[in-house]
Amino acid sequence: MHKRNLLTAMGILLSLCMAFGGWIFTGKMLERKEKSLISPGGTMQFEFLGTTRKEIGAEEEEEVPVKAKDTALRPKLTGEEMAEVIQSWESRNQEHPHEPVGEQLMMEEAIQIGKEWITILEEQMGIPDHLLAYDNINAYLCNKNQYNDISEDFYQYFSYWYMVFSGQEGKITLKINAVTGQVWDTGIMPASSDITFEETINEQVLDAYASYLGVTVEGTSEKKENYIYKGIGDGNLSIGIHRSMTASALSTGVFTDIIEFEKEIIETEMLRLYLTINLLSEVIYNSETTQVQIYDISLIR
Amino acid sequence: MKLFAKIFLCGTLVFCLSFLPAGYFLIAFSYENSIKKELEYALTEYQYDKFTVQVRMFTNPEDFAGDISPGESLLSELAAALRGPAAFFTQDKNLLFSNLGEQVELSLLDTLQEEALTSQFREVNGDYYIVVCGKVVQSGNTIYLVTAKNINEVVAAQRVAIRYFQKVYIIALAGSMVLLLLFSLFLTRPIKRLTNAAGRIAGGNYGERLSITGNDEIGELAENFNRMAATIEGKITELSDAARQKEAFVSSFAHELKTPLTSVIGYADMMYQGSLSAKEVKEAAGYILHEGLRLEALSLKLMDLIVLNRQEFLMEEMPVRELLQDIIYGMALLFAEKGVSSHLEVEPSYLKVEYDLFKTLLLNLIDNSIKAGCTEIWISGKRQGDLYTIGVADNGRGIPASDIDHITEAFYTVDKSRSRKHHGVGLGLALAEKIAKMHGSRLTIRSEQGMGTTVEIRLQGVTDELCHASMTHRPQQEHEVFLNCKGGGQDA
Repeated sequence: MHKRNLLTAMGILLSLCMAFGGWIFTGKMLERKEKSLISPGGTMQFEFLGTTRKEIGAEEEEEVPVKAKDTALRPKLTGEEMAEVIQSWESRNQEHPHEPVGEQLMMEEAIQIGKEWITILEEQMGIPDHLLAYDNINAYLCNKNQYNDISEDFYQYFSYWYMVFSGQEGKITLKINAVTGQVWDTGIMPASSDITFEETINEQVLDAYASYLGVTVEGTSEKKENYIYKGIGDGNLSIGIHRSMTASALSTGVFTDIIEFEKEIIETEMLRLYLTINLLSEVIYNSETTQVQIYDISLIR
Repeated sequence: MKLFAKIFLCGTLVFCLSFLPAGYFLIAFSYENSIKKELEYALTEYQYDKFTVQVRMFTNPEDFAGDISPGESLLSELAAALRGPAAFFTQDKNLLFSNLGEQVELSLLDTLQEEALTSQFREVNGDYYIVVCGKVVQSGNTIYLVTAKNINEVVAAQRVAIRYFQKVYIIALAGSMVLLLLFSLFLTRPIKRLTNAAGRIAGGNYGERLSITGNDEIGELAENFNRMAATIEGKITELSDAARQKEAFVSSFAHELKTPLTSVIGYADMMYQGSLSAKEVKEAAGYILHEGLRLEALSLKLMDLIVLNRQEFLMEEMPVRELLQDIIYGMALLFAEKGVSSHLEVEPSYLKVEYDLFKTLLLNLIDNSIKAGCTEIWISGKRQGDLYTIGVADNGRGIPASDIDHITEAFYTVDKSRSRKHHGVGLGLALAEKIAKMHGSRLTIRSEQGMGTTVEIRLQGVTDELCHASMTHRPQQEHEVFLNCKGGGQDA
């Protein structure tokens, strides 16, 4: 009897030892795992994916500027392919920056194209020149595509150079297709609220854009007070000019509360000239509300 | 070790072996994924920063020309435009600018390969970073860019997850231990009841039974336990009865033995003393002879009983008519001597009996009838479905109602003096009852004092012949058998 009670007590004690011993052991294992994951010692190497144009015969010292009009010489896409690429750009997927590969433009080429496009905006689109003045350029190459069933050659068309030309009077954002070198999205955001773009929303500007893209427009344009659209190609795409209100802060300041933040907000008009797929343009056709976009805001909570 | 402790131990072991590894793998997997994601973010941010630096190098190449180091204000402005803290190094790995907050190990730059990035985890004053290093080449100029991404949030989140897991584990462990204890006590409660019941049965309370119901193993165990208890109770009762009977038998036997021996010794002593006349000597010798014969009959009957207990007997099928006729013929002289008329009425059938024993049974019944002073005996055989009933009826003095239940007990006699006169020892009906039991039956006795007694025995029978024989036996006359057959006669 005494022996049995002793064994029972030992059994219960053993259970408790297992339970707490296991707890401590698991904690130690997790600590060890953490150390192995973020150990200071050792480095990891990450190679750039793909083959850059620099490696294909081009020398490091040589600059290869490409004029905007020479984009006619660059590879082209069909209407369906353009629609597929635009759909990827319009998606909510995350951007993945990367180095140029294959036929993609180098950074200097893309900047040159951007600069020349700004000139076209001034000369052919009627954008006031002081809005197009800049003293700072930023650019990066990225894509949003998550598809795995696309050929390697076509995959590079999904990338774009996102460029920001910023100055005292405003900011110009461009999305340039990394292979065709065409500007498929232009945003003009003046710094002050004194500018209006009403005159810019006209058919001539749209035709000039179509000519630049090398596409033919079809049918009549859909024109409202804030936008104008025209169908192009085989009907999947449209080009459009869209005017909306933008709330922006001129400085990238740090704000301690929402009231201070709101004081810095300036509402200005934003003009957007872009290539779009028809689904999106239908949504915009039916909407008469304005869009509000916020740029360069930092808020500390 | 008690069963509930074993269940508790096993349950705890199962809980720990499943909960802890699952928690470990879940947390480790989640942490690994988080670190991978942070690494991807760090590389993505590096790429953005690299583009920013590259653009600046393209638009202001003179600031980064080989022999001229860019001014600190320019680099500070450039670093401010980046997404996180950074450091710049010349092509010769001289530090140009850094707001990383810590000295960057040059070994990081040494391990850098062409067209590749190098990353490393660093801990600085309790803060964790992913440091990414790469070469930026633009417009013929080269600098090294080192960026750092703070991953304190991920590490802190991981530690919070571990602490949370430990809390959950403790709570789950405490809860499961309590539940295990309750379940094990609940499961072992029926076994405890079984143990107590077994103890009470061992203590002599053979009527103890369990009231556990259910279709599980415990329910089956309880059912079998009850069956076992009932069997034990039955056997104990049987053994007790047998022991009582044996005691009674021995007691009666001792008494039966003592009585004649007392007389024999008494008379022998008187004869030995030589104090008797010739007539008294003859009377004494006659008494000694009489008692001796009785003792002989007793010993023979006892032998029969003992033999019946020890031997196995072979049953044979035989026609009832022949069996009973045989007995009647055997008793003919005695019937004639005692002036008894016998009547036989038998329905044809076959019976499976042990011939000698069954004959003994019937002879004992007939003998009792004669000792009861009957003048007529009816022996019958009737078929009732699957049963065949053999009856021995007489018109003797009968048996008192109070004695009927005891009449088959060993040494039991209704009138001892009359029994002794006929050398009776009270074992005849006991023997007959035993023989009946061996044949799977028992004696059924009906009697009315002054009117007679009927003793019946029922056996399994198989019908064979279609006729029956009726025979009347008259004393001191030749045997005549009148046979009436309904079809196909047969001479006796």
